[in-house]
Amino acid sequence: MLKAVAQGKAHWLFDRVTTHGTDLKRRPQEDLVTSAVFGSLDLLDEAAKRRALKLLLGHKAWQEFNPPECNQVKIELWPQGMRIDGGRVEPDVLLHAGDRIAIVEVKWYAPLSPDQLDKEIRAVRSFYPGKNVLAILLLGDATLPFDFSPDRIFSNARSWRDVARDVARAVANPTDSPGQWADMIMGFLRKTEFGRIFHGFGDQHCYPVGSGSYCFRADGDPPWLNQKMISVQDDHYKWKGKMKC
Amino acid sequence: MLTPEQENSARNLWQSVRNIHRSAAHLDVLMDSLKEMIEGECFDGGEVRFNSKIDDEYAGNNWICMSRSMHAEIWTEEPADRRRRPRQFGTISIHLIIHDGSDEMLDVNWPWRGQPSLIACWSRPEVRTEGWEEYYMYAENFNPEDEDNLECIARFSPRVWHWKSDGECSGAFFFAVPVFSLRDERDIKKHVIKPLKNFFEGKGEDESFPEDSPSFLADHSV
Repeated sequence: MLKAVAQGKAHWLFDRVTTHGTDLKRRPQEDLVTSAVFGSLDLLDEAAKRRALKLLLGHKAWQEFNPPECNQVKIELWPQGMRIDGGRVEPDVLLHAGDRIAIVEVKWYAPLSPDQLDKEIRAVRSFYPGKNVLAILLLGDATLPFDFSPDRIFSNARSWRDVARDVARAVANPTDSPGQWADMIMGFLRKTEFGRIFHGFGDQHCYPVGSGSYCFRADGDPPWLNQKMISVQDDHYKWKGKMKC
Repeated sequence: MLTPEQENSARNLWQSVRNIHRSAAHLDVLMDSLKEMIEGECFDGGEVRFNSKIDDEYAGNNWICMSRSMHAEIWTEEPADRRRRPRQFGTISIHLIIHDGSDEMLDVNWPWRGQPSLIACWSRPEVRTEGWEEYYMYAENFNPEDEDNLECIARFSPRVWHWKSDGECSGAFFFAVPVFSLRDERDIKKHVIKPLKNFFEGKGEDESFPEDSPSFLADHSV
């Protein structure tokens, strides 16, 4: 989020008087999410950053990107200065490792423009002529265009729910987890419409609302007798002093 | 001043709505997970196409939504021969019911009554009749005060019910699990998706449900 504001993506949200009002055409959630999720990776050490990126990109895209151990993975958000067909092109995230590049296009409510991914690939190739663009990932609630088949590039679409699911697994297995970053991302995604995954009703208990009524079909035939009974262990209680009613 | 009874009623209403409000987010996610997981599966080689329509069953007003349903069609894969067209050969319907809108004391022995339940329906009739595509719409609210439901919902096997039409099995079946028995997506897969897949492949009840299935058993007196 800090980067989204710093690069002029969402600074108006923090203005005292905003000229945008509640204009829904310009909602900066996508940039805030990009910044919060990918921008925060710069705060991690290299090993944790790689584990986090693998969770975000998914196994296949990460394998295609395959950053060499000798190179640090650098994260570039909204690279400036790229143009193609006379128009400005701005991929959301570029991952650099030596001469290898992966492109990530983040979606959060906003639709994918026609040819957007094709243009991004061409723009990145022309902006970084000596580098190899190896993978492009569409991250969010969108699907790859039907006729999208870029030359020599792995392409994939991945939903935020996919990410949330993998992050939850990583959190449950601390050896694979990028630590507190994963906790933070899981907490964030679970609060959002796109990243929620079902994990039961948790610790939430419904409150009693008063007396209940039961319908017995025959004498001595409560409905729960149809369910397999669970064996119980004996519990022993010891009271100290007198019991108060 | 409220009488103690009025106070009690007021507190009960307040608490009931609070419970629903707190549960709503989890119920939404459960539906989202189910939809995504079903879409990601193939059923006896068939691909899933969800109907965009989602049915909400209101309690006769807009204050409480008692159930939410989604419907999918199962289609054969796109044939390699372009002259042939894919065909629909089944349906899947999911109903998440938090209340059936009927009187608690009603004497209907459907075991899923009395708690929020997930009802998983499928149909794969051997004979396609006119309007068959609409089968999945039939048992749409599971309200035991609805005469059609009472007449047509019948026990098929210990954990499976079917929709009878003119006394005959229509080829539309369902089973039900308590919503609170589902703790995460692994439970959804094990207790809802896998049994549905097995039934689609023509397996019997014993093979289709896992040993620890929480699905409701029919009342012996049915």
